[in-house]
Amino acid sequence: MNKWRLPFLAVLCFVSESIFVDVWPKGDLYVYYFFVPRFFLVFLVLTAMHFGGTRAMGYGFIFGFLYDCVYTELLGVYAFAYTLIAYLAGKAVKWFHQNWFVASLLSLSAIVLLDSYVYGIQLLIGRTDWSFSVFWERRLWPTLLLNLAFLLAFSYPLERRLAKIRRSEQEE
Amino acid sequence: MPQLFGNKRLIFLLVSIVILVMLIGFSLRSRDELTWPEQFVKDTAGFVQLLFGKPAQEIAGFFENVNDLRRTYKENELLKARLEEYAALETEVEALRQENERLRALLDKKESLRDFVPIQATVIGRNPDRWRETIIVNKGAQHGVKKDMAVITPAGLVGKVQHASQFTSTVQLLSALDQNNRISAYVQGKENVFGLIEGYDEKRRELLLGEIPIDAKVEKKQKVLTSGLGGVFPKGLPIGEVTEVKPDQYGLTKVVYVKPFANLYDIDDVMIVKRTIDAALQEEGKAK
Repeated sequence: MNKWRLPFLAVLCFVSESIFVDVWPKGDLYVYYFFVPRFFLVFLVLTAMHFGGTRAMGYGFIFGFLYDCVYTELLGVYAFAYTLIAYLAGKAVKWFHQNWFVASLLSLSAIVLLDSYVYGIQLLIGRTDWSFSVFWERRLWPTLLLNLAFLLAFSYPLERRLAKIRRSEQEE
Repeated sequence: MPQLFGNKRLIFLLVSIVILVMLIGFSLRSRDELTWPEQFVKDTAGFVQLLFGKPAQEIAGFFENVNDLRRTYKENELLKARLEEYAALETEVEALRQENERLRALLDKKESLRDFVPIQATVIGRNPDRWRETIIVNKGAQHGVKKDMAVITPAGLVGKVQHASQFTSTVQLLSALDQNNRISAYVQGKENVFGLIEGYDEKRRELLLGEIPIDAKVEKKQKVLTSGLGGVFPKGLPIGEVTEVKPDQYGLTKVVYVKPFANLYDIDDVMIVKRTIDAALQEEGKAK
């Protein structure tokens, strides 16, 4: 039973991104600004912190590939990025103390990294013609804001949850 | 400071980048169908999404209803006024329909490009990163959905099916239309003017109807409908209304800006449109 707790949490974070965009009111704000939920990335960074980089990389690869298949239909992009970010996060937590603040900061930098990378790919394959300043104003900034709000509201309970799962796994 | 990547890992990283480029190349080819593992993953994910998404949508729907209640009185007044208009229109439509049927019977022409069977579908997910505006709906190839079918709401056309897997399908919204996915359309007037919906002007939030002859008469407020020529779209699905006519950059053709009737962003339930003439033609082909 304990084995399934972490995957379940991962699925929840993964699915909630799509649901969040679906139920978000579609006003002018939605059309002009791109609030991209990166809840799974937050989960990934926290997982790397509590369970180590290797395990997080596994989750990153599987769910990154799911993201590619289900949403973007551009295979490999997220699978690569999530795995790499999980690896880097796993390395980074060794240099810092593990606390809530560091986790939030790491998550935000991971979001900047991921979004810039995806923007670069879209630019490369010619699916967008945005300049970097437009990208910054309409996409990156709102995305960071949204995920900061998510972090403020949910990172603490999420972290408690992960710590609990880790403890129960160690007991077994 | 410890080294970020060891030697072996660096090679592994480089190999992954090569694979990444190959995979992107593979997915960028214009594919008619997704590979079966992709379809399987999509369908499974769709099921999970439905499981989690339904309750979330119910809750969001409740708040929306509360919001709607506040506007009810005003809307009701407006609707009452429209109702009388509607009754008159309905009798006229009925008369025209009967006449149409009679004339068709005379001509012995049963199927028309206009007839279609709608497949009701619900939105179960959206692409969260929104680089390409797509929605996922809960009907797929098993329900008769095929690639390139038109997707409409009661207000009008909203998109076309990008890929159909067995139980879900991905719909590309009109706001994400690119050069490879043009839609044949016409401007309704005394003489119909045919053109192609070529793209979406994000700033004006309007569609671009191009390839219109420079001497064609197109005026503001005229309606734009699908033409049913080419592809699997039926004829006469409403798209939008002309707002501006401009010569294109070379002065050889006209570009018409079209304001879509349907809200291209706020979409909950859609209908996927299956043209009846195709099924009839297929059967005829089999019979022969």
